[in-house]
Amino acid sequence: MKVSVRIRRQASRESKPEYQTYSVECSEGNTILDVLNKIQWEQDGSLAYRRNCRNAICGSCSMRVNGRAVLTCQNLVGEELEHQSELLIQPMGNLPVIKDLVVDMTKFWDNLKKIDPYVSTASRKIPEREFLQLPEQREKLQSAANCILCGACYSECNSAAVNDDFVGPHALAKAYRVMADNRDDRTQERMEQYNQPGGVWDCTRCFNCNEVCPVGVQPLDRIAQIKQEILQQEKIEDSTALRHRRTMVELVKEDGWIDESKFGLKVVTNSGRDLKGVASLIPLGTRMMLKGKMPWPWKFKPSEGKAEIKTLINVVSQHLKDQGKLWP
Amino acid sequence: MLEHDVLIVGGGLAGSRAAVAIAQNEPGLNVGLISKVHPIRSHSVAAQGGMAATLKNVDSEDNWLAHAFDTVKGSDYLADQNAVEVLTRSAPDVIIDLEHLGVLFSRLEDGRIAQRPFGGHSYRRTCYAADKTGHAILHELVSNLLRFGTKVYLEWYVLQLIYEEGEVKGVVAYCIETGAIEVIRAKAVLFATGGYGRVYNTTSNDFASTGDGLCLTAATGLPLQDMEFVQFHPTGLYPVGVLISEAVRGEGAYLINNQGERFMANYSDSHNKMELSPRDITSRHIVQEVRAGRGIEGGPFVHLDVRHLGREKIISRIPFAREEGMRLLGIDCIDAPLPVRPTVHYSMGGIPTTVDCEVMGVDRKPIPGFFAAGECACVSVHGANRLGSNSLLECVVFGKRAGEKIGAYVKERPMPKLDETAYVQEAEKLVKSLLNKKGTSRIHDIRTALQDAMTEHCGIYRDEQSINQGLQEVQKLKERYEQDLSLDDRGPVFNMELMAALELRSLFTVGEMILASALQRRESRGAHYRSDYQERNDAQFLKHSLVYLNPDKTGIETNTCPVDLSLQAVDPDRFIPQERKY
Repeated sequence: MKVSVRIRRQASRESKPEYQTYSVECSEGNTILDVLNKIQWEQDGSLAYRRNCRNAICGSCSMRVNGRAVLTCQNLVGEELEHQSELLIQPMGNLPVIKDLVVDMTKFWDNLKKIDPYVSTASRKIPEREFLQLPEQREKLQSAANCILCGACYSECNSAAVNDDFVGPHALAKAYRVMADNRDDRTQERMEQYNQPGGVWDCTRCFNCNEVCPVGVQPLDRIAQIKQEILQQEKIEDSTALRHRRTMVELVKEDGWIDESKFGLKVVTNSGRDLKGVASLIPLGTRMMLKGKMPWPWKFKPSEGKAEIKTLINVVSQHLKDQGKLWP
Repeated sequence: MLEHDVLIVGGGLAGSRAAVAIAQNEPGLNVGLISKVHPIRSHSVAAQGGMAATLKNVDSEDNWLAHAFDTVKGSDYLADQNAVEVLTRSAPDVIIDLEHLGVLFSRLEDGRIAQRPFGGHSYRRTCYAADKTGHAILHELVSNLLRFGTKVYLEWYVLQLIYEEGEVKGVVAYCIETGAIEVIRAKAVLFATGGYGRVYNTTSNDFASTGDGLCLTAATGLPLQDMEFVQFHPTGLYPVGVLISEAVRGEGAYLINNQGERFMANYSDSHNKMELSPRDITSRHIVQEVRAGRGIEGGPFVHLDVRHLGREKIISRIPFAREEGMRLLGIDCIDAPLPVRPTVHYSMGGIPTTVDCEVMGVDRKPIPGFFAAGECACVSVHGANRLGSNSLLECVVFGKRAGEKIGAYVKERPMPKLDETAYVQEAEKLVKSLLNKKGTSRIHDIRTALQDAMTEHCGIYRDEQSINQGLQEVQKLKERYEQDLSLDDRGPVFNMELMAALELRSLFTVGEMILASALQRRESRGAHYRSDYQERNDAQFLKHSLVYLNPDKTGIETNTCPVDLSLQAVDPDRFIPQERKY
């Protein structure tokens, strides 16, 4: 079959992008990478993209196909054309373009480095033989360890798009993989590290990373696991992020929904203890009220179903306690 | 001119392990690692099956000498026994090192590292990480490169190895992103550049496996060793060529012909070990079945059947193999057999080195400043045929060893003196001449013709006539490359076509070296099967072959050198060559 392939071209970092359309003879069972190779080999040798193993393990060939990042050696032409009449191929997002479909991944690697992506055994006595690791201890690391660092999650990450400090889903998946490894001796430090700005709380939980991950890492789930570990730590210093979570549950339990004025006081000002927070709250509160995001505090009314909601929350938290988990 | 104490070329398992070893032992040294792909994209990442070591976690009676014997027998007695001794004695320690670095090996119920059977190994000694062992190891090693802050030249390509006054002084390198050319001077250069699967038209290797390190070495006039031994892995997925891991047969898969027979039982050299016979033998039998008309539906492939293993075992032990079948062919191996045929997988030959990874010249003397490790090297632990699970092991044992050796070596060696002018000019001229090619042949057409010629004339079966024909065809294609090549991309930025043109030079050189070596070895041994000389001939050919450009670089010369047989003194009954049967 003849397939129309529209590709975003860009001659260099500084050049203006433009779109070029190719017509390629291929079959439904071909991968997207096969199609790109055909274009480069037979029609236009100037087309640039990364590729290597063509077997979904080296992580070189992620690009945006029809609007979302995929591993092009993994996705088939037939699947992509189910709802579309042409293939649209663009470079990954959130990273600067070097040429055509090749992006500069420096930031991606630097962010990985920030989370200390190696199992640390420095303070443990190194045995002559292997450290023991039970199959079930290893199993819980498997999803995170599947990561091939292809960048698909980072490309689609909503937080990385607006928050320069966010280390990204790939780094946090790796963070979980090393933190939860029973051989690692820095669990406590890591929890404090990942609890900082740029860490787990900067994730917006948009689910994009889970949607696009080609190898089942499911970074959002790993981020949630790190959060769970942090929340169960009493030693970890109180932070705005933690207060945010606890206060939200507290208020909903009380009134059935959130009283925004109380929420701000408790979270941002740490119940009046943080004077800088208090100062910041006055203009914030005024803006919120003027924009209609918050009712005047004296006009707040609890939800009619608040008793029912309270019962629900109690049941859920009891259930989690029974499983040995703290909540929120 | 850039400068490092040590420059490592290649960031796969051997290169990364060497860099980590230097960072651990000699943190004061200034190390550079240069690679045409990000180290984590190196082909090592695709290694599936595992890594052999006599940890004795499963079979307590296993021992290094048994591992050494299996390796030597597997090599058809061509491996150097001193090197095999180093390999097999070091194996348990290097596995433990990796485990301490954080590698996620699969585990036994009690938490120790699991071990499984593998083709040609007499005990269960293969350590693994499901069927993504290379991925598990390389990711931890590269994480450690980040930890130690190793300077990595990401996506730089080496154009020339600087070898003058009898020593190696550095490299000329090309930045793929910008087109910049730099000379990098170093007290020691380590080649860890991997294999050359792309010389052939069906290969398990990635696109980057173009034998660049071998070509760069040969271009200086230094020799390559045992280049005729090209390993075909028996179970490449048909038609794409990607690998279905040997681990699949390790777990008990059957090879079936169109009669429904497990045909390995019908051959005298494989009826005991069946599907777990070594790769050379298994590959030949698949081709024999196909030639006898017993391929599936008359096609050029047989079936690999795992259905009897059951769903649970398939999902837990060989998930990647299952995923490959589903992704590339739409076949779920839980329900149906997978079509397979041999695919070019591994290079037994390479740059000759001592057991300390020092590269040797034709006179077998170490070349100052030059080291090699991993698949590009020929130390030689694989001889005429490599056993599965021994290549990751080789990379880690000799990568680490190279790092340790070089760490000590460069302390005694001054920075070589070098005038870069001529090298830079020559490199600029080369790049310019390629960018200016205005013929009518596309790179892809010439490359495909070369790959087809090599596969046709120097594949699993070869003879004098076919090899000579191969040499003629390669010569013609080289002329076509020189006179009629055309490039679409003439710019400096990330020019993949220019890269392909440079890599095609490597494929030509390596192809010619394979053909010339195959021509002079008039016997059949391991992976080298001569239809016109079907027997092994120890009297004449129990020796390594050397192949190199003649002094004025107009033609190829060959020579031989002896095989180390030192383990014969330890265990003469086993290590004196005998007929190889499984």
